Amino acid sequence: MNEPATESGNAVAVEEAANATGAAGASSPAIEVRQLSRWFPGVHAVRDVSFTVERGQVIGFVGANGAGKTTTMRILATLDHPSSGEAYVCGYNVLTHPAEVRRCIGWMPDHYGTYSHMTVLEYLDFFARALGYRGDERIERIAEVMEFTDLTGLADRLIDALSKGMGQRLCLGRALLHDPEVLILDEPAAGLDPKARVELKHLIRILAREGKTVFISSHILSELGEMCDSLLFINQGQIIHHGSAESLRRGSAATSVVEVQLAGNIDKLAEWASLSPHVTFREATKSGGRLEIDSLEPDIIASVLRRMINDGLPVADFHLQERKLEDAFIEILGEIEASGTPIVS
Amino acid sequence: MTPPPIPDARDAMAVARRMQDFPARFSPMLVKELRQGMRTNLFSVAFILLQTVMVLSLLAGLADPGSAAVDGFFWFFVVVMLLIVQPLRGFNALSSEYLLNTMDLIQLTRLDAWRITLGKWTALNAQTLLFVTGVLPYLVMRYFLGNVNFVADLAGLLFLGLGSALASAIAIGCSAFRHFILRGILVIGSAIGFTILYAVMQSMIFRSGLGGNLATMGLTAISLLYGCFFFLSFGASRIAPLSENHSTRKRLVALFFTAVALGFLWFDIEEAVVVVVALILGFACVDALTEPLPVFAKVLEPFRRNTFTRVAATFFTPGWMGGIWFFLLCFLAFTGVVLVVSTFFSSSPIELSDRVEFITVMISSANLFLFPLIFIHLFFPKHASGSFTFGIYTFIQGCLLLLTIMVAALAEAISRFDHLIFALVPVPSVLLVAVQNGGADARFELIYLAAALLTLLLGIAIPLLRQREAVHDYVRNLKPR
Repeated sequence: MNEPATESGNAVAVEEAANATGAAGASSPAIEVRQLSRWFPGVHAVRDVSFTVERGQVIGFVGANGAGKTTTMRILATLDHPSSGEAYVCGYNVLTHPAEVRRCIGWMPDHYGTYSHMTVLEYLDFFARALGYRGDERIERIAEVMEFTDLTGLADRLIDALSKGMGQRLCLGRALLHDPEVLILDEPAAGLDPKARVELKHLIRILAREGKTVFISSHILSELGEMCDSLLFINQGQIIHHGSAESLRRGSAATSVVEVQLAGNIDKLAEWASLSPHVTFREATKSGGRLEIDSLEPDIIASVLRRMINDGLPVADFHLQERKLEDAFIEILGEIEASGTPIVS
Repeated sequence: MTPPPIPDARDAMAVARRMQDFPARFSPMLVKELRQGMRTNLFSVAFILLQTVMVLSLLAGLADPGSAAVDGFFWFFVVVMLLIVQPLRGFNALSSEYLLNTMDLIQLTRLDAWRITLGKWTALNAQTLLFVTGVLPYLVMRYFLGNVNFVADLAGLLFLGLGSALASAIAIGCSAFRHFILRGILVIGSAIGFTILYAVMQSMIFRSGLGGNLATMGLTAISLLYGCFFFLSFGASRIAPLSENHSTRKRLVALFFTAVALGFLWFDIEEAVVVVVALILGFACVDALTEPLPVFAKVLEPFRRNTFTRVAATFFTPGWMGGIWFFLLCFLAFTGVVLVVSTFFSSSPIELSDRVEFITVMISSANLFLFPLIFIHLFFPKHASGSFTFGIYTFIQGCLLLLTIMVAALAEAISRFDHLIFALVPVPSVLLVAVQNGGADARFELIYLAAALLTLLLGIAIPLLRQREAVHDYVRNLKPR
């Protein structure tokens, strides 16, 4: 049963606004959200959220439990309706054109749904039939999906007997049956063992290479950082950051920090840094130290390494030190708590 | 002969090709439910048990031909299988989709709520058909053993099959409620209610002299058919997203079945016809009065086309507001039916002196439906348009029934002050009892009528006033653009 109509006034107004605007087209963004809000009795789950996801992008959606990730994703998947604001997928409004939106999205919920007393093949066949595939086309779609998710060997296995990782692959396969343009994946890696995580990540990478737009939520920031073109941070229903993982790792600093390990005498490093322009010795480590370079430019960082080698320093390791995404997330949260306003870049 | 090549398990196309066991034109939900259902232990055990019992009863019949005990043993198991075991398999049909988190996934496909519900029901009945088919050979063998009326047995099995279809529809329709207790109460309540109603109906049919077995059977079949449709669409509309409109079809079908049932007035079974019409309209009205108001203006769009559709919108748009007007339409229609039957078909037409009592009874009967709405909109306004509305409505009706029984018993015990007791509990069901008790007393007739009219007015006004914001949106969305 869907939501009660206690807030029908808002929803109707939202729908009217949706009718008045929005046009589908190949040039429209894959996902566009404008001042979206959703409230339930006593809970403001999503507040005034706006963002755009271009076609072919992989976007990570990050936030703590109850931050509003699933609510936003469910609205995008036409499974819930906004209390105010608008949401478009492939140029179609989720309220006024739910059928069109459903045709272009593949939805994978956090708790994937599967049936008992049913084999993998029967499960895919049911959804292929329900999506309207008939005859050879249905068979081809099932075969393609099984091949892609490597489920062919498990076709006759009962779903009850699948591991969590296999189950997630099956669920991804179901979401891909109608070859959707946009994939909305809510916590797909939750509860998976490392091997299954790697497999899932691999599949998502292939999908991204094929040009699919992937909107994925997860708690595991490092994984999202590797996969995503940009990250959206949500906290208490509000977007607090939208930018690339790279920019997040760098933070707002104008300098770079490199960690250097030497094969020989480590005192030489501090001495060398005191004589070099644009370089400051920050601290010593067990086998080297950390240097601060007055630039973010890769060329300048590379030139520092070149000079070290030319000056005869026995460099065993030289790498740019980045903030962990988790640290960046916590830092942003701290800044918000201090300033009281979201930072959306 | 060379055996056919075994498909390579790695060849996805060859593996996928195996999924052609069911024709493509079969509903996906039917295919899924058949595959799942026939693999459950319950199905296998029940089927084997039934076959064992059939064999045993046949052997017992051989030893003691024509024995009533053997006959009873045979039919008891058939009845249990068809009317209890099979329908109860639908008890979790829709709620399990929520439990397994699959309802969202299905709703994202092209299956709408009606096709989901119908598919589940068809699959359950297909399995029941297997049971019935499994029993048929034993019926034939019983006939050859003698002392058995094969035609009567076959007709009995057919009606059991139809009864099973209705019971399955009730179980599946009620399974839309996720609360186990509510679901249980509804299923048990419906089962008891239907048994009583059919007993009443049967006695009426026999009293009216059986204007022909065919007409009676036709009317019973129609009520069974509507019962199936009602409960399935009831379940479907409870699981449907708010962007789907199931209400208009439900209400139009109820009126259609009413018209068909009225056609049976020409077969001298007028009392049974009135009961069936009351049932059809009563079920449709309870459902309409407890529906959530539509959130999506898109649902109301087809009603904005022209003057005719806007008038139709008053009665047929989804939600309890349209439900109230639909209820009033049904109430007037039913009053008309009673008057027509009484005037043209019955041997005892309503006399002039009975008219005030008749109007009071009719309005009080209408108030039986509206009265819980006053409570819901006054005390549970947040739940007035949600999935709980039906549950609260049922609960209030249950409480009112209990209260009426208690008041009636008290009034009978202290008969001197019965009017005072009735006056202290001003609810429609008590008023009906009061009218029955004091109908002959002209002093109270007008008071009862005034009380009934006031309740009717409150029953309509309070919900509309309490939810005026929602009502305002609803009316605004029906205006032409």
